[in-house]
Amino acid sequence: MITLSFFSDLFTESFMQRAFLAGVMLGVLAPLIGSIVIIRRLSFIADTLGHFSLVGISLSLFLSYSLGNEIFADRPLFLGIFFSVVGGLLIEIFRRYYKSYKEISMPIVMSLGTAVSAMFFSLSKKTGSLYNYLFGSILTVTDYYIVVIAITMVVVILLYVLFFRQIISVSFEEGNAKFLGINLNFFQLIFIIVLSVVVSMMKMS
Amino acid sequence: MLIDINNLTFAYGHKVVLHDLSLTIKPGDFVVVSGKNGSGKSTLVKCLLGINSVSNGLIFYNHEDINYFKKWTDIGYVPQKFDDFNYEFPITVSEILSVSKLRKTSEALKLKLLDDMGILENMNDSINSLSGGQIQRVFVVRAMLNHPRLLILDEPTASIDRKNVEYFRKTVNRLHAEGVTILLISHEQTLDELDYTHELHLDPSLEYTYKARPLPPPTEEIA
Repeated sequence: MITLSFFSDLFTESFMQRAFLAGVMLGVLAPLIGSIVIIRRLSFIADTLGHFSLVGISLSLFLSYSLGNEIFADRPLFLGIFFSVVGGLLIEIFRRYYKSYKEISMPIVMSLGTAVSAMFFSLSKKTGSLYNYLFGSILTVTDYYIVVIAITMVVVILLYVLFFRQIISVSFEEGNAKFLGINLNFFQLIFIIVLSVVVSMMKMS
Repeated sequence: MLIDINNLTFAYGHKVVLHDLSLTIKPGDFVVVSGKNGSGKSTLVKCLLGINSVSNGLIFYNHEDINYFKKWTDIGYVPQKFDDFNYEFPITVSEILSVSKLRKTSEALKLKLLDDMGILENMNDSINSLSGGQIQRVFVVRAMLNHPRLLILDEPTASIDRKNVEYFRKTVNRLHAEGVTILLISHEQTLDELDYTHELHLDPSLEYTYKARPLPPPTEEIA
């Protein structure tokens, strides 16, 4: 009767409702972004940004440890998103610097992220609940997570509707973008920022 | 579109490919760029497209320095090679054309261009099912669809077979008659059927000649 209790829990338990809602919204959001990631041959970027967003989480733990309050430890999502975006921008900078071998930007950023987060984790001297921070759990999703995910989903769908022509053109052929009046650098920047936000959210839940 | 090239010199490292090239292309001109492999034809195109950044010499579009030029949408470009696009991307010819439209263009014009280039029946085919020559013609149609003021064609007939080359020539001649400035790069010798007005001949020895096409022999129109 496990399946039955799953459905009854869905109606009675609020944590199940939140988990269900978050799951559905991320299920819509992830393929929207993911398909562009695959087409633009950036598959490795999700893992990289996931590792770099750990910097934000470990910093949250470290700050709450050193400042002695729980504000940061309770809400690691925000610093996580912030550092994921920082990681995305770093990748973009390296991609432009190493023009011929763009993909090496990702291992650089990933090892930097892992190293810095390991540093903050060990400085914060808190190991008990590390597992939750590393992998997240959809069952612990809180109301403000839901709001953040919902806002992101609306923004991504809106960007898709507004820039559908540009997204398809660039996905098919980057070289022609200029003659269609598309600013490729700007496009890439917006894409990386949105992607960073989405990846860090996926990571947390 | 008016193009001014002033003392353009371009080198890859120490290898100079273009040396002190100066010429003016007036609106409505049809320039054929000829020369052997390695004479700098494609390099010149890359300079004109802003892919090679020009540091030695100046290029102006309508009196505007190319380094500050923004209106790239006025230019249509058909590349020589087709390895820059995503072969795996599931998109049909018709869809490529509709996402490449800058403004509302009539469906009739699209169909006419496709018909002119002999690929009307491939309209709903996926791009990766087409042959090299067909893809090239799709890209020619795409470049023409937005009514560019300058059309740059880099070896546009390289992989098109003879019969379709004729379609292509007719279409290019018609665009020229409509007042589009055309720059066509070709290493072929048979250019007679094109209504070009000027020929720029580049030589691997860095010499170049730029001259107007000799006028055709007098016809009865003059008499």
